[in-house]
Amino acid sequence: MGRKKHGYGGGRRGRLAGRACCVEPSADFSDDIISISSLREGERAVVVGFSGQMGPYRRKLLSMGFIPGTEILLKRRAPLGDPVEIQVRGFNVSLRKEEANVLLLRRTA
Amino acid sequence: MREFVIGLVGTPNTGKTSVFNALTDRTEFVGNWPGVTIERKDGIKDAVYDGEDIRLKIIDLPGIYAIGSSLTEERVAFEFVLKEKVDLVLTVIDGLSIEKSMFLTMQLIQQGLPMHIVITKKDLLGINGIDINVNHFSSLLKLPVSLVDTRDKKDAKLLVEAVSRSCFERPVSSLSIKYDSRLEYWLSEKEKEFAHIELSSDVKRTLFLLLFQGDEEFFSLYPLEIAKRKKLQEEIDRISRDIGKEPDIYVAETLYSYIDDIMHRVKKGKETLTITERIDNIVLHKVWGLPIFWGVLFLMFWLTTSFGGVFIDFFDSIAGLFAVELPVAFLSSLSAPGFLQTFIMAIGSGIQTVATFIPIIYILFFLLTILEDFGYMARAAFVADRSLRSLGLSGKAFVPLLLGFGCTVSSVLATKTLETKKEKIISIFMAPLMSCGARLPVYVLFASMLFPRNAGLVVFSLYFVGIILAVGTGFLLKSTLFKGKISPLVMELPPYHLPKLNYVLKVTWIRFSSYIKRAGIAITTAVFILTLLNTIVINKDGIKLEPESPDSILIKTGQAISPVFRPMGIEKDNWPAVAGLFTGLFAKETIIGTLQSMYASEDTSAQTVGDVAEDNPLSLAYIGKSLLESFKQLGRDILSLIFSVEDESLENSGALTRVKNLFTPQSAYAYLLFVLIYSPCIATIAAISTQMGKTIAAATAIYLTLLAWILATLFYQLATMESPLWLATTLALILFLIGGLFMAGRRRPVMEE
Repeated sequence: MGRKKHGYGGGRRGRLAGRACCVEPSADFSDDIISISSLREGERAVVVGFSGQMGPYRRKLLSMGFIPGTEILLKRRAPLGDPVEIQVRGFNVSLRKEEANVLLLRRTA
Repeated sequence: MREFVIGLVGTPNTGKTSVFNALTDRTEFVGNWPGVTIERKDGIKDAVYDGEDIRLKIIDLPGIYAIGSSLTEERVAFEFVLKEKVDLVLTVIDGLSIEKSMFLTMQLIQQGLPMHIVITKKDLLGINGIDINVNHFSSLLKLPVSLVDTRDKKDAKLLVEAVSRSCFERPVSSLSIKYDSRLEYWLSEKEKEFAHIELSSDVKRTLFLLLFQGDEEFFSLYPLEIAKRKKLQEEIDRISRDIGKEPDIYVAETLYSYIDDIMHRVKKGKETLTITERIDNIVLHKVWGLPIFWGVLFLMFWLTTSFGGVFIDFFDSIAGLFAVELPVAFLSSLSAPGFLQTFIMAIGSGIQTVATFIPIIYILFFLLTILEDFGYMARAAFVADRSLRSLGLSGKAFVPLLLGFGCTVSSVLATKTLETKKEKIISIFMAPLMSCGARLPVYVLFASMLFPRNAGLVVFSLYFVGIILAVGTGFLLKSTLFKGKISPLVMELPPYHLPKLNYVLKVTWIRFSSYIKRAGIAITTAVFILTLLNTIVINKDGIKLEPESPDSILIKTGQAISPVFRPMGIEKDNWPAVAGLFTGLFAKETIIGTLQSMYASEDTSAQTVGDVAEDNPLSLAYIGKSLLESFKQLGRDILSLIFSVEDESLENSGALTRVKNLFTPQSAYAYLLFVLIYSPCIATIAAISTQMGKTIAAATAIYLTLLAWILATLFYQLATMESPLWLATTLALILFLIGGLFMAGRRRPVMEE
């Protein structure tokens, strides 16, 4: 399970498109910020913010309730490894790993 | 009688359609929204309220998760409630997961529309240990709320009453959602600044709030305001800096803080998706997931083709009797003029062709509705997504492509479930290359005649070539005309739920009848024209009408252009093979019939035109006999399905053995390649044109016919090394085709939906 490098700058530091910082409470970009790709099946994480720019995909995730502070659970990967199924706010959504790397997460114990 | 227009909104998978069905007596209109391939349904309910007769007109808007314009569905729904005079917005919320629908509900409340809320699945709440305090919910949102079990007749009646009352009272929520004061100030400033735009202040606020979140619906509604875009963007950036959060995140967080507060107060318990969990652990299993996926798709394919196929002859003979035989017999008994008889016969043939598609299409829609309703459709897309991405398609495209092996018409219809125009077009171009059932008899005949030792291998190779070409086509289109990223995937995997037969039948019927209405006209027209061309004979004695004459315009054209097929090994004296390609446009299997009758007429020049009816077709005895024969045949077909009796109706009549003399193995395989690839039958073209418009339909037919000629010729020339010139020409044409697409793709802006 190596970490893949994606165009979105998965996890480390997204392009903030010249905007104000997007990450919640004074989070420093420490190593505990991860992306969906590095979650294992059955692991939980909390959304801490988004990398990348505003746009339809981000609005869609936000409208479904992926907002900072929301806990998500990676339920399973598809048989071919991608997409993944995520549980958020009591319902299940499937996302492609590469696209969903705009979500910045922190593992919860 | 007063009429009220009600817009039905809700997130997907909430039971919106069941509310629609419970509320309406009849469906008045089924079609597409203007300019998009999204289904629109309008239903009618006549009711009495307070002693007054009223009519509720319920418009089923596309299922959406949020208001905005990011998706076509969202734009359709949003612009409808914005522009049309809606008396009431009826918002459907899934009782088992209220939270999923709350974002949309709050956005609608912000728009200040008269609104009524329906919470579904009342019957399932207790079982799942969920308790919703409806009165509290209603008082928090300041809107009327109905909690219903849509299958309960009593509930449905109460709902009609409640909705009728809301139509008169027009309840608008007084709940106000407050944002940061700096944002609120900006929103009110913008209302004043754009006072010349005639919209209610709530709607204006909604539009500017969307703009704040980066959704530019405002500019697509008012393109003249685009000049102010830069200024507005600077203002938005400043506010966002002041608040210290990005706009879209800030707005969503604010709305969710309201939502969480409401949920906390009115809902107890959480849905435990134990059953869904259990099913998913099996069907999405690492190892079993794929075989199950293939199994489900294969079952669907088998049911559509075999089970639907059983009824084809039955529908064909019944329609033939009532649409062709009887009207023509009736006219000739009145000694009506010949041209009138021909016209009626041609129209009848069109109706007959449509009738043969009825069973396959009905069964297809039925199965699609069941799979969708059950919740497996989303899982199939989840499983297949990874493997189709390189063709620019999402997982949902698997179903239409697989159905192509049964019948290309059903495949084209199934592209309806795809999300973007780009995906629909790519799938439609690929679908005809999946060898449909009608092409199989042609393959089998030629293979058994010319490759008796390797017939099976030859047929298999054709299927294989088709798949390779489909993949190539998809890849080519994706990398030329339809560049740009595939649309992102955010797909809910809804809880499973057992489909109810009467619901499935109703939805199937609505979809099916609307399709038959639309495509029926197109198919009938096309068959009508072809039939005329196949009947009119022009020779030195003037113009004659002779059904299926070997001298008809159609056949003569075939003979005239047969030199075009010379490079792929079709000799001049083998013109019936070319004529067969023309009649193959009716349906690919007719190629055999044409070859048979043409070779026969060449052989003996004795006409064997239709068996002369012994009885008067208009007598009851004859009709009875014909009907009985149709039913007997149906019985035989069903039996053959159960006991898998080999019913290959390929009588090797003497005429067909001429195939051996007129073709060489090389030219026969080239011919089969052509049959595999060239333009799909007119029923398919009609289906494409009802789905995506005439341009795409014509483009598909032309592209495939060109490709067919190029590849068949290339194969023949490679196999025989007959003429280096033709070999070079075909290779050049292939490069030209690919190069042309690349050039066209470079000029075209990247398609982003």
